[in-house]
Amino acid sequence: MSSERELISWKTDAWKDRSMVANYAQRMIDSSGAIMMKNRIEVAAFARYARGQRILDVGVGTGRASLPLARAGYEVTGVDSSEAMLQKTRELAGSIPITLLQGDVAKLSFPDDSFDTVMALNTIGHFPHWQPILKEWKRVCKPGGRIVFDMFSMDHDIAYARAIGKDERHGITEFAPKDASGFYLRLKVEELVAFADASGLRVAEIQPYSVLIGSAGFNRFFEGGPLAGKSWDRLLSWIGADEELFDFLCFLEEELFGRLTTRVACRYVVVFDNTPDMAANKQWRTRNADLNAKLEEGLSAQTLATAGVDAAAFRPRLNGFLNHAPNRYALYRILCANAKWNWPLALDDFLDAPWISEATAILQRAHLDAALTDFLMNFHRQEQFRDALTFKGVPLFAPWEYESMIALLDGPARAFDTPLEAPVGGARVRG
Amino acid sequence: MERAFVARPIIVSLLWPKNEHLLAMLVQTYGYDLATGHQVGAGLQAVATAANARIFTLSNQSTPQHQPEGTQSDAAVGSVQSAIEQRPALSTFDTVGMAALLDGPMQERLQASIALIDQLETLSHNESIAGLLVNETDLPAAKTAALWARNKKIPTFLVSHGSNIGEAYTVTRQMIADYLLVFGERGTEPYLDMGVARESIIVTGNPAWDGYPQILASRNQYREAVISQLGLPPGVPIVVFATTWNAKLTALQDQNIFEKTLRAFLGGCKVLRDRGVNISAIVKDRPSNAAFGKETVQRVCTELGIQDVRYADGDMPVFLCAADVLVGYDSNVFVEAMVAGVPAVGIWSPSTWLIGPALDRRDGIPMVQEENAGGLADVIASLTDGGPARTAVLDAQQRRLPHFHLAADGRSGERAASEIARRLGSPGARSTDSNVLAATPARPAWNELTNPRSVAEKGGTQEYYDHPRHELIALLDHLPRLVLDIGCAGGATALELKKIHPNVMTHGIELSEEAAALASKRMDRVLLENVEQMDFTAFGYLPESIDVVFLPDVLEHLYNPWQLLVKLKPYLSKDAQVLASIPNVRNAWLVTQLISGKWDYVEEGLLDVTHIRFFTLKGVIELFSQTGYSIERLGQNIDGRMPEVNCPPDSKISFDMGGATFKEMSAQDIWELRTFQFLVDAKPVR
Repeated sequence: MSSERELISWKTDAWKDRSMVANYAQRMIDSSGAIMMKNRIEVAAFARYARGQRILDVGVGTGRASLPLARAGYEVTGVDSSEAMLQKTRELAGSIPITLLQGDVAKLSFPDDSFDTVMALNTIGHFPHWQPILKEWKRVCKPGGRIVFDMFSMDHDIAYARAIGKDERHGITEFAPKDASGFYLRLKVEELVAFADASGLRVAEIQPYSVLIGSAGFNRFFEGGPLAGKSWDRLLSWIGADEELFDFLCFLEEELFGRLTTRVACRYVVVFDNTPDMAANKQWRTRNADLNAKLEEGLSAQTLATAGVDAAAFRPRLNGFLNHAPNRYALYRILCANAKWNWPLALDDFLDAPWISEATAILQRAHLDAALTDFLMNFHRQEQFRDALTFKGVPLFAPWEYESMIALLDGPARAFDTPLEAPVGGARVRG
Repeated sequence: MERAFVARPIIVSLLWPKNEHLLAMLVQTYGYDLATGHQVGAGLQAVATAANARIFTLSNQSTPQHQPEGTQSDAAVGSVQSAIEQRPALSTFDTVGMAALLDGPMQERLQASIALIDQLETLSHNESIAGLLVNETDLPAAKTAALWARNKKIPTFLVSHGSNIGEAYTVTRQMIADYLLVFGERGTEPYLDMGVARESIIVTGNPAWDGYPQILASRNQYREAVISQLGLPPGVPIVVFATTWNAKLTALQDQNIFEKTLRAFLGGCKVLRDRGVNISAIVKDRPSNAAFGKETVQRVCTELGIQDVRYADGDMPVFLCAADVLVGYDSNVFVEAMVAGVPAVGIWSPSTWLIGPALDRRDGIPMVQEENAGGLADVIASLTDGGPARTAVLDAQQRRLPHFHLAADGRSGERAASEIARRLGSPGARSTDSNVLAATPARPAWNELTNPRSVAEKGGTQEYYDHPRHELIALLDHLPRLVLDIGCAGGATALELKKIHPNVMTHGIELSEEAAALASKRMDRVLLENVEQMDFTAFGYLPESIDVVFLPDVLEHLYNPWQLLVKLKPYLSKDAQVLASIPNVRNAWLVTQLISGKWDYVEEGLLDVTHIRFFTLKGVIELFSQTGYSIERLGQNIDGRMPEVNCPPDSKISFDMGGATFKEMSAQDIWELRTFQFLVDAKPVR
């Protein structure tokens, strides 16, 4: 327990460091696509879920979540352990009225039932003692009020462990943070639902996020693939110059992945109503289990229906984004990344005809790349060929993988015989 | 096994001719002999002759030299064939097509690899091979050599030939070199994405661009030459399009990428002409497109109804000297344009997203969709109409250049050679007198106080003053007008800074006459003054006029560093940055020294005998906060004498070092203990 206490005090004090404050303030205006997108998804979610007039922001930091609310006329109080953070927030708030107080996440200096909404962005994940913290937040929240916060998903790590043929234990231990400075709290969503049952709270909403936000989050399923690393971050950077692309990626993050379960993303927003309602929680559990079962079969119109999304309305909205070519090819890149793992998208259910053929052709090309690469890099390393294809300890075919790849793609595989873009009956649609 | 005569070790080089000056340095300065994949140029030959160095040439012969190896290659081809027969089911193509891969050429190919291995074996039998240098590890010869070297535990250095701004895909997504030399931090990215450890990547700048400063010095002559050779009208802005090609290594590349991007460029030019904007358009093609390039350009020009487009091939630097704008597609040429100070524009095509974009929006190079001819015309027009857009784009690109190419100072080859030699444990310079330092009798460090020696007396050269502080330059967060370098030594930092931002005004203050004399050749103004006694107003500095102050290992030498910071503040502009490095006295090595009773002053280092003040992290923070500054960022130079210690999640930890035990240390403590110097970015608080 003493170690946990030290972690808590280290985490509480870390934010008092000036460079940390500057770093956080920078994130609000950071123009890197990854941070910009994470910021927009989080700030929009918190604004969407806030209820009532009096808002408490715990771990207000530099006011990312609540300054926009204060600006919109809400009565906002912010609490942070770090006076340095509060100073920065005061500076950023300028003339916007906001009450800022130094304090501890788990020991708030307010009477019971003080606020309509208690929110905490990127806060609780730093601490191991989440139950006392949530109880304290509930105490200062009015009956019928709301508690909104974000959490890292243990369900995601476990789902990934299962997908690579390991067990639940592997998901829990293998991805555990390796040292104190990297500590973050992961929970199974069921732990939070059970907590809600026990504490007189209703699960109002669970919104998974952080599928497409590159280095500002992570997705185990996409590691090392086309939605990870510096390359995807570079693509994301262009949301700063291309509003249609920004809107489209946010649409996918919020209205497709955001409607699924805590298995698909490494983070989720939790919304509790401060009302005991075990029946509603039971209903939420049933829907979540159904949706997880449907997801095993893939991502189809039926899956969306189970998630409570009107698939008939979703489809035209999605296709409406696709006349803008950068959106369409970003989607194809997402499909290529996703094809390797769970939840392959049922193209027929979502895409209009010309885009189905284009997407299918591109998925085939990606498959061809993977299959030929695997073949060329591995066949000569198999036991039955290794000796004959080794000279003085040096593998002989390996130097010829490059030329063989070109010869196969351009030759028998006929990769370049048809145009990359499918012809769309006469003139192409233009955005 | 003893040899009477120990020959110099050999570096095997399959580098392309453009990197030969790097080899010359390895021969001349670091004392290696060479074995090269091709006949070396006259320059390198002369250097080798003067240095009495040997150069072996690996033959290009692909025919097997020994009968038994011929048998081996037959067996090898047989294996490839049976692999194809047993291949995993691939519905996308048939066995017959696959087998075609093995007709004829494959036997010759495998024999070529065998012949090269044979030569390397022979060489290594007679000589000591220190390392292998290659420009890539994908093509057959270099990859064969690299695989052979790996087997022999001979370190391989991949000296990048491109900026690595694109991702590695399919069979190129593997790394067999031990070290990678890249142009800039940006060049590490595809390797990091591939899972290569950062420690094995070395940032040096591109040696092949070392000649750029000289070329740019004759910029106008080159421009005139292009204008007269291509018969361009004088005084009209020149827009150069650098063509691209399909390497055919991934099915996700667009097979029509050459024509599509060409069409996008010419479409933009057409719109400009239709609007009555006068520009000279040049399509600068590459040898890979020689078979169809010119004909395609003519055809597309006819289709679009655009005339007077010049088609050319030749050296990129020459065309960059002539260009007012460079248009390209996800290419190295963007970085070369940055080096040459030409605003670049990128074309977006579906492959850009599918394969991964080369550009980040923050690189300052606008990207226009291939179908948006009007958009491209707008961008080109804004860059050639004398308006502010050109300056803005150039400025953004220039800020970003060091990220792609460490420094456009013509010294990348030097850095690369020194990094390679360091990792190979160089046999030492040939140019004798390497004993100067050792021959000097030791004298107590305190003599330095009463009787300071010149650098020459210490056995050093001008280089002593020539350590640019890249880590301080890297902290710049905006383009300054006036930079004051306090303790500027020979002005090396200013020199570096000028290369990145030529328009920055650099002033220096220096106590050493010798250093100040050198610095005054490199900086706009150098004051031979004691900064503690200096009155800034008396030297003409206005309030709020200094944008950046460098304090590189200076504050600890002052009697009253606090007073200096207070005194400086009124002269600093609103967003000024004070960038300082300060030695750490709570350094683990120093602590262990003190425990064992040692506090040995030296002429240089943490316990430099001229240090008056000593700071811990807390001391540094108070130094700035108590004098009216806020520390925006705090970094460190690590002291490698303390090993890395991982602090586990749930407790503080203890560790042993130098006979002492450090108990209950937190991650923060460990960070501080490992620090050699603190790097501070502070701003004045108003």
